[in-house]
Amino acid sequence: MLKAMDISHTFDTGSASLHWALRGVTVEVEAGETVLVTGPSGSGKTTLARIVAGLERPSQGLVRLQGEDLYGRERRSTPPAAQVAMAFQYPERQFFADSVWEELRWGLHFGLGLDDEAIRVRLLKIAQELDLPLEMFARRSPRQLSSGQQRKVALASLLALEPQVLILDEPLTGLNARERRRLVELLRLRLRQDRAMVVIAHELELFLPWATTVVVLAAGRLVFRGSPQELVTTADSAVLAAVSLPPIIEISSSLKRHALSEGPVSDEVSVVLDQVRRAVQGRDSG
Amino acid sequence: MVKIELDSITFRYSDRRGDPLFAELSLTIGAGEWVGLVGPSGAGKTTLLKVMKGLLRPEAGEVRVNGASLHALNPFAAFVFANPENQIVSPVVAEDVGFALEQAGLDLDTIRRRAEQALRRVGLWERARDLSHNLSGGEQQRLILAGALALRAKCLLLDDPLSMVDGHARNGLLALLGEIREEEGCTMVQTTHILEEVVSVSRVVALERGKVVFDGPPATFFREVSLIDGLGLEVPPMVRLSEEMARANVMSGTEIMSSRQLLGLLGVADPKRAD
Repeated sequence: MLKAMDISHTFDTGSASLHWALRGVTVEVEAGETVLVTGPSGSGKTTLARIVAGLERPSQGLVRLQGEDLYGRERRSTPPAAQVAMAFQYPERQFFADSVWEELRWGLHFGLGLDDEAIRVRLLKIAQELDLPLEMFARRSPRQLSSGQQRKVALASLLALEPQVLILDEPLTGLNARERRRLVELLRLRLRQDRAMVVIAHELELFLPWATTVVVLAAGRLVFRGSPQELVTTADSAVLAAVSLPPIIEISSSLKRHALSEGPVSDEVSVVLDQVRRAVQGRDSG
Repeated sequence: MVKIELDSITFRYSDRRGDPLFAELSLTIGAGEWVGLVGPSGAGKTTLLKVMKGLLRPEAGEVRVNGASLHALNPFAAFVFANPENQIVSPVVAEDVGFALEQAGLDLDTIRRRAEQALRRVGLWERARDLSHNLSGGEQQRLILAGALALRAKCLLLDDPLSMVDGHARNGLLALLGEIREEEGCTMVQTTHILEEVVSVSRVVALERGKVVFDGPPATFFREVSLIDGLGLEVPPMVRLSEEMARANVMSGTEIMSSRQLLGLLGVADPKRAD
């Protein structure tokens, strides 16, 4: 569906030494898939997201959406919102309208050119899917809502566009635990066979259980591409250095890698407690 | 050493009618304390931090710093705002760290020395000549933290300063804050949404709708499971594992704070990360 091939990118810093934000990165997402992109801060995650969203022409490489060159000369540089939509970090900081309704309506009206009735139908549908009390919020300023609700409105404005590929840059930042779980559940429910999602995240806990593929970047290079299961069992030190596994998984994974545990890598406290206990017994008796 | 006293603070935002956010709230932050301020969105965490700094004026009550009444220009504390983009003032990383020092009238050598030291401590020195706006969100947060450290203020007021920083780097920066507190007796108040960030603090204060609903050490706080749940927060899985280990008598006598520490004790720690 969306494929970025051999992407290299540098921001023109005007200095003699070029800083390559990305070097030779290839990523691909198919319909029905969620690709999780992770890596330390500064590894190029956001740059990659902007490039695949059609917002930043890469210095080198090609991005294809449904086979079509996203930055090709024959087409406009920004793909229509119906194809790719990107939520920036803290998307609610881009609120500009005085009411939630106007905020949600804008992209449908100016981006997709829908009439008022079609807009109403879409917004009621998305509000229902996201459990957003639209009749209560419609006239209120989006900035008066709680942070969790603001994030929901910001994402609703993108989801209402029904993009084929939705790109989310750190969608959980600044939300508390409960808001995080709710939002991830909503995103998970949204995933359909004909749609794809790219999630940029440094905290993997809530995404690992359902992501199709994980991509790990380090200093602008792709150092890992595989399933979540392959990620948590990898022995590649370059990958382990670049990824922040959730602590419980990290312990379970490390014990297994060092042959101190035979069980599967787990994210459950009770299971990992048992693995630690066995590891301690093994160490003490060995 | 900085001690902050909030004495019967009443505060309301002028555009919001009705009950004040804080009604006669009193809270004392002792010199050298590291306070983790937690609570749901809208509980008043950021507002409280701004009242402490004098950026917002309460309608009643008094803020005292080391016994003296606070006035807005008192530079007793360095403040780190939640959104780093709002606080970056210079196009180049190193210049941004030096900006406040220059305003304070320090000489160029001192500014350079302190900026380098602060950037090294947060792991950004190799980006010193880069453009600030080319830094990632997590790096921008480190830049703002470096600016605050370079000031060598005796008090740091930090509003969700690590929200965009990834897990291991966050642990590194939390350790750095701990060191600064040890070395310089710095008083620190830090808000967060993530309870992993309050594991090492000396005191947790939980706010709900402008009221203090918990005040005590993190170990005690983490036992208040239903209170934590009611605040929309979660006990960090690592804390749960640590408690389970204590209960099951596994590696008893050791307080386990992080996965790295546990793996180190088991002799299977991975090499240290680059960041």
